[in-house]
Amino acid sequence: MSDKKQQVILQTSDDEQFTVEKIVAERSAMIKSMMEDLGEQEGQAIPLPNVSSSVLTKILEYCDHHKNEPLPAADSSDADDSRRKTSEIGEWDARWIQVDQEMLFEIILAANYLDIKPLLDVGCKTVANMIKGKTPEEIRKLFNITNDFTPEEEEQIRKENEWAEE
Amino acid sequence: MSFKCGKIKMNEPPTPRLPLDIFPLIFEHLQYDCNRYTLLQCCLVSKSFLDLAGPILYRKITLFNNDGGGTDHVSVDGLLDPSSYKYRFKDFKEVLEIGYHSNCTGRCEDGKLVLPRLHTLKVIPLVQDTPRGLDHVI
Repeated sequence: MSDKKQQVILQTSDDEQFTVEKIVAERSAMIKSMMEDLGEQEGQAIPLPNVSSSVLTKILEYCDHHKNEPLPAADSSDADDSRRKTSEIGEWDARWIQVDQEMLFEIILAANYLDIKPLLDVGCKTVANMIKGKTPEEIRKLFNITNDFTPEEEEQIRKENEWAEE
Repeated sequence: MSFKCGKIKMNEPPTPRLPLDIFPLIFEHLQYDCNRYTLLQCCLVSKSFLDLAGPILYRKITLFNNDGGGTDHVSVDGLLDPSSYKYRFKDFKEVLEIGYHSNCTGRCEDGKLVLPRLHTLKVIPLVQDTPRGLDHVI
């Protein structure tokens, strides 16, 4: 088998092309399925209009590191408890995901779009760890969310849940 | 696409907004490790957050009976059907349907926990690994 067959070209939103080992690109279920659809059309770039080159560069690092691990089953969703039950993140992943918040959110968005479940999981665990111990106002600020409760509604929810306010 | 333009505008928020459908995946990680207090804080963020975090907060509740100093407790999975979830936490069903229980002061009839003397139901968060759960006061 020629080397060429083992590679795939990915094209980002900012029109950069990345030549990537197939085994690395296949960490993305979305790319894997696109490669299958494209079949033998070698040299044809797979467009990733929702991913910028800086984010793809970062994500390819992750995919390369994990390229020899078994792919999650296609239908493993919420049932895959062993992966989800803890908010612990592997040592390499934890170091790798030490990025600024903007990059973290973009990684999550891209992992969701590219359908890389373990990566989406790492990103979500990281955000979960970030919001631990934060107040509602701090959480709003973090995600740029407007408080749409009326003061009465907010008071009502607090009152009904005062058991947690200790 | 428009990513480049967005990044150089000084007045833009510093981070992209995550779509709402990502948040349940984040909240799922807060139901473990006894982070229910954080989940409650999420409920107080906005109506959308309440809709997403509330069902996860109440998905698993531990019944805890302190009658006579005993510490029998019962785990309740799926207490609240997310589709029937309302803003008002007090809209719980009157009968708790549970999958498993042991040593509770109630009786088990047709898979339903019956607590004949139940007067008040308090909902208390789990703190660390200590089940404090639902504390019924007679």
